[in-house]
Amino acid sequence: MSDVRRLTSVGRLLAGGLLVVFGLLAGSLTAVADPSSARLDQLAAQAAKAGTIIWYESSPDDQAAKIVAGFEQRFPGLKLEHVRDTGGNSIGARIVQESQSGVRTGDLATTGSSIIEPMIARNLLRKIDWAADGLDANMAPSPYAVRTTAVVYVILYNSSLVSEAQAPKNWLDLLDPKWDGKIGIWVRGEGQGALAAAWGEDKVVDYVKKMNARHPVVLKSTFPLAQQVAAGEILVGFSLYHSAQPPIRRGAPVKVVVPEPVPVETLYSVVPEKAGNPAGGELVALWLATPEGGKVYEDATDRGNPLLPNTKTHALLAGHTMAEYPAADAGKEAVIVERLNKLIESGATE
Amino acid sequence: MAPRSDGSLAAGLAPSASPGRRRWSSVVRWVPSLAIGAVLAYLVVVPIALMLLSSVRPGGFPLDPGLTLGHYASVYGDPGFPALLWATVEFGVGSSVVALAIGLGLAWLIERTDLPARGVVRVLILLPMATPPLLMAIAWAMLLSPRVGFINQILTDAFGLRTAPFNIYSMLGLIFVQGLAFVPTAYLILAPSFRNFDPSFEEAAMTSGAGTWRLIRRILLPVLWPSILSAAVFLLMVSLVVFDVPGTLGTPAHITVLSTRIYYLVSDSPGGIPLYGRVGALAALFLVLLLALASAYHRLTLQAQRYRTVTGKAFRPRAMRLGRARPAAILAVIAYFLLSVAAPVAALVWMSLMPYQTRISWPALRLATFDNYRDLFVNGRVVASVAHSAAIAVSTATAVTVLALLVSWLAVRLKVPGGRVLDALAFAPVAIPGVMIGVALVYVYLTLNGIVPIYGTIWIIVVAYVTQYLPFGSRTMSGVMLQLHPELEEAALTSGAGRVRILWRITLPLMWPAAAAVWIWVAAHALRELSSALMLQGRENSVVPTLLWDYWAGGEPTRAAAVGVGLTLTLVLILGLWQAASRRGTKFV
Amino acid sequence: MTVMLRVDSLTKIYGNGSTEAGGVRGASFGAGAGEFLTLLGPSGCGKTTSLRCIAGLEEPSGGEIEINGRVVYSGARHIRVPTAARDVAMVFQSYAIWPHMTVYENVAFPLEARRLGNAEIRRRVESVLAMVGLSGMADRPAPFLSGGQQQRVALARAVIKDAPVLLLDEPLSNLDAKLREEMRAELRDLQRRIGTTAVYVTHDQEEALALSDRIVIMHAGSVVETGTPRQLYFAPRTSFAARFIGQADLWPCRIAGRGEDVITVEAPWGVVHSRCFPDDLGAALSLMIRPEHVEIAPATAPDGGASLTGTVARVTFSGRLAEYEIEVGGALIRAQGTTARLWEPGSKVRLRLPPDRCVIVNGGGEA
Repeated sequence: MSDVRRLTSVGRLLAGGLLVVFGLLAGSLTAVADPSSARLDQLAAQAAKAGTIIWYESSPDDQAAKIVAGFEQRFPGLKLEHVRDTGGNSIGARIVQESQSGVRTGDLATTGSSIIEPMIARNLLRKIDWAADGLDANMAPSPYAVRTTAVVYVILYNSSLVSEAQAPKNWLDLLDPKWDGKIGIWVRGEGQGALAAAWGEDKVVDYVKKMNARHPVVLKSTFPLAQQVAAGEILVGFSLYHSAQPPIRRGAPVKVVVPEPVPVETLYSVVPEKAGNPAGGELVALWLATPEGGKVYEDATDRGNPLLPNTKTHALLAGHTMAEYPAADAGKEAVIVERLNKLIESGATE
Repeated sequence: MAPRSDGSLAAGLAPSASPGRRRWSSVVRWVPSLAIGAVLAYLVVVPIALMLLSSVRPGGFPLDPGLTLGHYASVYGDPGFPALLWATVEFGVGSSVVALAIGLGLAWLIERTDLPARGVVRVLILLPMATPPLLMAIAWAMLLSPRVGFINQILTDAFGLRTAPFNIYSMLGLIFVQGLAFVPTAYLILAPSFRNFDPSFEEAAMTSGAGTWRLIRRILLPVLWPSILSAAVFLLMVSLVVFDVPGTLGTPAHITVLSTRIYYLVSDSPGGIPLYGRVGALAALFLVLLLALASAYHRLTLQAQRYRTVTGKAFRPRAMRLGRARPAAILAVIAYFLLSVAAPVAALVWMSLMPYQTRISWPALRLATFDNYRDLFVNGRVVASVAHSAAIAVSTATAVTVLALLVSWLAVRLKVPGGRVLDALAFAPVAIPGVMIGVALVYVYLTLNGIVPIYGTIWIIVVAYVTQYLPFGSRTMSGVMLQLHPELEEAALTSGAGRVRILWRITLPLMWPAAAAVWIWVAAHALRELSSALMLQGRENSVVPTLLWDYWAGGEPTRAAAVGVGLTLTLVLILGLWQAASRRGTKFV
Repeated sequence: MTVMLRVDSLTKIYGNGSTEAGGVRGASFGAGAGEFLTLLGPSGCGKTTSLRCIAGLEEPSGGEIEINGRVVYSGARHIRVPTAARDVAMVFQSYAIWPHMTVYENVAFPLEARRLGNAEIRRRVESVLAMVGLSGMADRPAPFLSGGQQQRVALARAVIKDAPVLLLDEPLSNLDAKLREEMRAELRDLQRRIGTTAVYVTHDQEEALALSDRIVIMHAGSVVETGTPRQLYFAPRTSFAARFIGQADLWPCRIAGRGEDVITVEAPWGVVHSRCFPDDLGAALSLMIRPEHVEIAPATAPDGGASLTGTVARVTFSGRLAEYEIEVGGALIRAQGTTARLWEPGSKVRLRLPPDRCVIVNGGGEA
């Protein structure tokens, strides 16, 4: 618990001109992301001198390969190497460990604010003048981090076993007794945690307890959750948009409902202090924030940057309210998520 | 009178000494212990020390500043802790008991009765070892999940049940799958005792008028009791740290055991970085618990040796006639194979042919495709992972075999000074969860990167696996070494042979079947080990199990199944070779 | 006769203390060239340990061992010659036939270790196999041998080394009785033919008497008495040896008078003369009488000096011999006679105890 509490105090470090996404209407959901090609080329020239750019990110290798190909096509002569971290907390752990041991660490890491906060607290990240790179405060809310993409929470249902009319339309519909034992949720309560930004902690805690009374099937990852919906083992799920895409693409009877509000979790890109090719890291972060890079990223991973108008994610969220804790409240959010995780794990209804 | 083996070969270890060389000769006697001890300390003590260091660092990273006992307070002060401990014990004891019961029955049927086709059964019995537990769990979920589980569907339809009779997402489900996964190991530990059981004990009982049942109950079981108990303790130790099955099936059932709690603390805790401090604090309990079990185990194996049933005389074990019970025994063995191999593998094959996860049904069959298999051959990462896994399996198996052989030779046979410490060190890693070995090694090799640049390569995984599998290797080797009559080597000594010649001409040939068995067991396990490989994953060391995990966690269980079917076939092949090797050896061990 | 083996004050203390069975406490003995020496004693007396110390399989805690004129172990001088370099060959109780080798390979091993040429090895293995009666079995795998054959292979493997000292650790104890007698004769024969010095460990006194030139009796880690089989049988000097070899009645006694070469002793049941006693008479003495040396005569026979009268209390008939227990002065004395004349219970008899066979030994009569 002490780790979490310490975070609350350091969360403010990320505060520099950040944007409270909560409550923003998607219509105004854009940001100035127009780094000049001159700046990109300048960084590319610097990066080329420092060799391969190493990027820590959690996408599966075949997805990452597409992003790498897109990048290397745009910047011929540069070499980007994607190192897959299986998600969870391992990216943060890796950077902390490599930095402490004085080994070259990644040049860029793309991950959530909960993982970035402790790294800031340990002084492991570089401050970069993103404004000088052409990004506004929406796109780069802190000197340490730039928005890359967002994880979007949605409702999934099996369309061959549940008719569209019967399918849940909003989060509270999931509490209907007809889903008893047939609803899948993720073991990590981050989606529900983000919902607390809109609902408040008490209402979300109450919601999770009521959900527990529906005997949900708790899964380790949302990818298998989507597969279980495809198989019909569970009929509906509180899950993620992008992890539902693989079965959907292969023709599985899985459909997505975007309820109100939409919990999202933004993933930021950061450049570690001990990066061997910091210019390269900055370049990739910058490129990913351009419409071109953002598109390549989303096409590969099904996760897009809602601030970039050319993304599917932007379209998906159009007209919806998003719920997310501001990055500065990462510590507060962590406390809530830990509480929710315990509730989910125990299945307690009281 | 019983020959004393104290010192036996060790007595002549030092070369002839003149008065002034005495100190030198006692130094020489320590050399082998110190050399092997250093290797073991490097492999075993360093990870444990780093783990304990983490547990007292406020930040949880071993190189962080400061000291605290806060992690212990938060772990053990947690009101949910007793439930966690209880679930762990329930799972550990339950799965050990299941494995032991089945393993005992099979060991007896195969080694001591006239069950037909025992040779084939002996190979088949090891098949579940070849299926990665992760896939086993996924396959069983397909068969026994409450709604779409294939077996549940059949039973519900056949008997008009309103609810599914089985739920794999339950403590019993976990115990069932893990228990089945442990059966081969249980069998491997028990079989030699059954095989070496002096038939005159049985004959004496039969001439005393005892029937089969009385014979088993009054003679066979009591004499084999120490072996059975030691197998039970070994299984219990492994079951307390095992991750795959509770990791996959436990969460939906709200069942958390120590190993999944550790994984959660490392990977899923909301603080953003792994809570290594709490992991260390939890693992400290593991360590105490498992070291207590390890010492119990050590005492039990010694006792089992005292019951040693092989004498210098040659004998041929007798096979008990099953008589009228034969059909029942055959049915039981077939049922076991259906449960442990046929059903889950069939489920895997089904899944590997599907574009996405589907319930097993006729209509779904039209979706069948070979895409997942085609992917195995075109995807460069699959090829690389297979190559890495093969290299890792061969290196790990060889290193463990050689190290275990040396340790048991030094500790059991030569009784070098400090031999018991060596033995204990080689056994200690059984108490370290694979996840923690991974975490610790990341540190060791990040720190040593300038000297030993293996971070991010397959070699760091080899080091982790060697540490993890050393306990099994040294346990097996020491057991066989104890079974070898010391006079076999002493006779070579009095024949005028030097130590190296004895090792080469006498000890190694006699140990060959055991060495081969260890090699193949380790190779098979190295091919499927997941938890530490996940922690050590770097730029150039993707292996088949991490590939499987990536596919599974990345929403492509059907591709995972295809890889799994391929892996299972490979391991079947290895096991076939092993069987051929150990059959060659059984005639004199 | 040259000294081939000298064991001096050999001590072997196990682990936590000296009291543990099997240790050796200052044992000294030796053997001459071609001598057949037996270490005899109950189990745990230290005889096997002594043998293993000679072979170098155990490291003594102290003392000195010399083989063929070369000191191979000396605690004081810090000499320790490894087993492989000692002039010994050994036959083990379990035979220790290597199961992964054929008979030929087993027997050839000591020569192989000496790096002899193949032709030479073959010639010698064949001749040794012939010597132990295993011709034609050279290619048989070791696990397919009977107990007796394994025993012969073990013997052949030891003999082929041509070592001046052959150590044998209860080599016959795993054989059945008939085979054991056969092998016993063969073993003695073989040892005489090759002229090696043999050190033989057994707990079987009959075996020891039949085989040995000299016997070392051990008890609780110490040498109790050494002598030829006849010396130990007819004139033991200690009550332990008297009891361990052959049958014997031992009675506590007191010296009543002493002549030039005869001692008069007082036993619980009467007074006898002894012409057989050790030079170093101690405080506690026992009178040993072997049942087979007691002569039984009719009560009416003349006294003749050394005789007592008694009543036959019990008779055990075994055909060739009969065993008696005869009550004399409130005690039961055992006697043995041929059945040429059989005495019935209740008969009054006269017992003759020849002074040469009334042996005084050091030590109490307690068991």
